[in-house]
Amino acid sequence: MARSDISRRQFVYAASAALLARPLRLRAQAGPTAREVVDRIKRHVGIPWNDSTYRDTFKVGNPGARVTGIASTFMSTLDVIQRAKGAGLNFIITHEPTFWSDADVTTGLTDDPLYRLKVDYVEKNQMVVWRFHDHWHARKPDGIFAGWNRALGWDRYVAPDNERRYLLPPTTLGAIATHVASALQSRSVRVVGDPATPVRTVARGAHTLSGNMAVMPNADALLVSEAREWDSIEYARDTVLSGQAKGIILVSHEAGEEAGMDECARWLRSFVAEVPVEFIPTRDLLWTPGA
Amino acid sequence: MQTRIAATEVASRIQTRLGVTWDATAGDGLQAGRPDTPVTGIATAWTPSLDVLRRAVAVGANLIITRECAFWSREAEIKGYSGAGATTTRKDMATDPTFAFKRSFIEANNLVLWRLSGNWDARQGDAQLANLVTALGWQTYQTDRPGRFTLPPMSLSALTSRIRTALGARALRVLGDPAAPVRTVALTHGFLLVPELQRVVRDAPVDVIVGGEPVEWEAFPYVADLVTAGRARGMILLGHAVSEEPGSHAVADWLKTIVPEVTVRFLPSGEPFWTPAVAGARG
Repeated sequence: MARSDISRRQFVYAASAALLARPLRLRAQAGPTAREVVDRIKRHVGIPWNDSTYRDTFKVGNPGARVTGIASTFMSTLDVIQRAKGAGLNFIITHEPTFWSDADVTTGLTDDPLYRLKVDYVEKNQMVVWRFHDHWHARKPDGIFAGWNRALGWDRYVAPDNERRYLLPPTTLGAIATHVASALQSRSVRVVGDPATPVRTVARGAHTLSGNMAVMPNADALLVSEAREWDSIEYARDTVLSGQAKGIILVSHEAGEEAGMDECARWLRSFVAEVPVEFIPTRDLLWTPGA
Repeated sequence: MQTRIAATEVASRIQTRLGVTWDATAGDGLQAGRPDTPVTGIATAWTPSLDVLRRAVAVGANLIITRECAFWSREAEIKGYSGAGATTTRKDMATDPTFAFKRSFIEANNLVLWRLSGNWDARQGDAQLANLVTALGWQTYQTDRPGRFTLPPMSLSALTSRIRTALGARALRVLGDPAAPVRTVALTHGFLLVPELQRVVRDAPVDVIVGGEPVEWEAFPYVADLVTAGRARGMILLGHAVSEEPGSHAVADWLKTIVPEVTVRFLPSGEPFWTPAVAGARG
């Protein structure tokens, strides 16, 4: 019997099951829908779900599609989507946007050939993309930081009263920069400040000037994943120029948060057993030319 | 003794001679200091870092005209940027030691800081871009489209090295296969947002986009997706400072023509970053 006949028969079963709203043995073997996985995430996340989030929503694809496998990733780039497809994973859980703006605003994109190509690829391959940002950050401890601490080997240095602060054995700004680049496998780390600056207290900064300014006075060094160069970075430069023995280590957004989605894959496996869950790294795509 | 020109007179000359209707909403104008201060000399820079201010004092310049702001924050929403968090105002900075130090330095040295950015860009032709092209030595590669260049064929890595040498930059960042052959380039400067990127690549694709600072959840992954889709080969990020610095030299050249009374100098802010040596770094 031809394969297409079987799938046609399965389709008829599934269709009648849906129509009659009656459980069928065949359905027990099929994976959950993307929406069912998200519902399960909402039940397990451990904090009240904020239904007004514009971030943690479905971005493209049919939420009712059966999940063949889950790809947890830092960002649903076209490359990640294609690699997920290659690995047989059709549900992508991404920390960052799919369509190049925080709210995945598609105004101004509908005629963009790159946007069409990305949407068509997802739809043609019956894939689904859902973003998991706010709630993963809001968990206690923050899911992204948990992964980051593990990747840096800094779990034991986290300050007891502040998960964004690390109390390190005495070291230097330069030594931390080298460690960070190596532990996060990043070739694009950039630093402001004298490499010989002694460091004990490191604060995890923010994308914003206000976030960095809030922690700079009480830290020897800031570790920041992506910040605007005209404000946070120039503030750091002036801090050093004013004679304060401090520095800032700037890593790419990806290097700063990707490990948190590996953490997310581990967490998902604890309550999604029917389908494979894999972490797909985007890797730090940026490289810096050697000296 | 000759009466010196006041900072406010320089400001009004800029506003009347710029050749555009002054846009008061662009965030340009007085940043710090007393506008009636007699000007002893003018310095232009990309950003008024403490280092720039010290060098200005050393050469006797007390009016500092820059593209960026005295206290870092632009204190305004940026159109087309889906940035996180509220803007930071000086009120928010009141207790910050770096803010206090810089403000005291400006006061103690009787400096006047003045911003010229959006109105400068509203002039005919893109002076920021033109001076960046000159700094790169790319005049002969210019196509008939502004900001488009056809270079001799080379690898992305070789192009990066050439740019690095021409601009004296340390911390360039590159997306793409270092061995990828490249020839056509789109050159931008400053903050690179998706709408500009779309405009740049819309009609004629290019191998490489060279720019200043993209947002890593906006323009950067847009280009990464272009590369995956086979519509571009890479991107070279100069950094915001490096991409805008030559343009601040152009501001000094223009000011010389309208303020002959005092010396006008360009002071490089320099690149803020250094990069750690990492095993396996390519390029």
